[in-house]
Amino acid sequence: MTSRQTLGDVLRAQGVSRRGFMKYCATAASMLALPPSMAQEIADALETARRPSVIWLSFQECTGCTESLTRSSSPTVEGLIFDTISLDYHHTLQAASGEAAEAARHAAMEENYGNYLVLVDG
Amino acid sequence: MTATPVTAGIGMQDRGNITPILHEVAHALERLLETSEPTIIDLNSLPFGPGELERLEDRLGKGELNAELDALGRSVIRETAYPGVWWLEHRNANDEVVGRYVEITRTPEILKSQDIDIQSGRARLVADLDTGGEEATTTEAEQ
Repeated sequence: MTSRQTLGDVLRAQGVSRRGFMKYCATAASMLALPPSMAQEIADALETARRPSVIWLSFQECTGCTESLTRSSSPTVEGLIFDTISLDYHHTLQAASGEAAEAARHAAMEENYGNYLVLVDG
Repeated sequence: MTATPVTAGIGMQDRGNITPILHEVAHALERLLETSEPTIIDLNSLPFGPGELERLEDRLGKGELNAELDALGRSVIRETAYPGVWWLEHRNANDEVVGRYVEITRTPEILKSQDIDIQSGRARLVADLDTGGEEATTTEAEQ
């Protein structure tokens, strides 16, 4: 799955029809106590949402948090990083290291400036 | 001073929402006819007393068209006895009601086939035809 894919692309790839998506947005508006007319705005926003960029910085940690993450069952770590977030930097899980890894981190920060999430453990 | 009769009992509590809602539906129908503007009433956002929602559903009645949608759970889209007034009930995969609406419109949006689904379906049909075309050619050649 490419990082350019939107949430709409992911849902369609998983067999969620437009009708199912609109049903979800309608009920989401209802549960948020928003007017029914907001359902279309919710749909428009979600349709074009991309997976959030996540930069995971580990400091004085035991890697226990990462170990727990990799043992998650719902979602699995594969489902998490391929379908939900774009894990752009994680020095334990990523294949790159050294300058290549740091370059990837800087690229993710520049490309998603103001919108990426930083997760810190340790 | 005469005593005011009071009727009390389980299921008798009426929040008085049915008549105002029906008035709102009537105004929405007028708006639909004049400007084609649809209206959606989210029934989950309104406080109903015990049995009141069922009485509203009974008052609106059932019309000619009843559709069932199977997407992320079952949904029922039913035209009421008043054309243009639709009762929509969405359920999740656990068959729990997650949304109930009265929609005043000519055709609820969710009933319409969506462009993106049509495009996807067309791609599948073309792919199926291509596969079927190759098999037919092979069969003819074998004969």
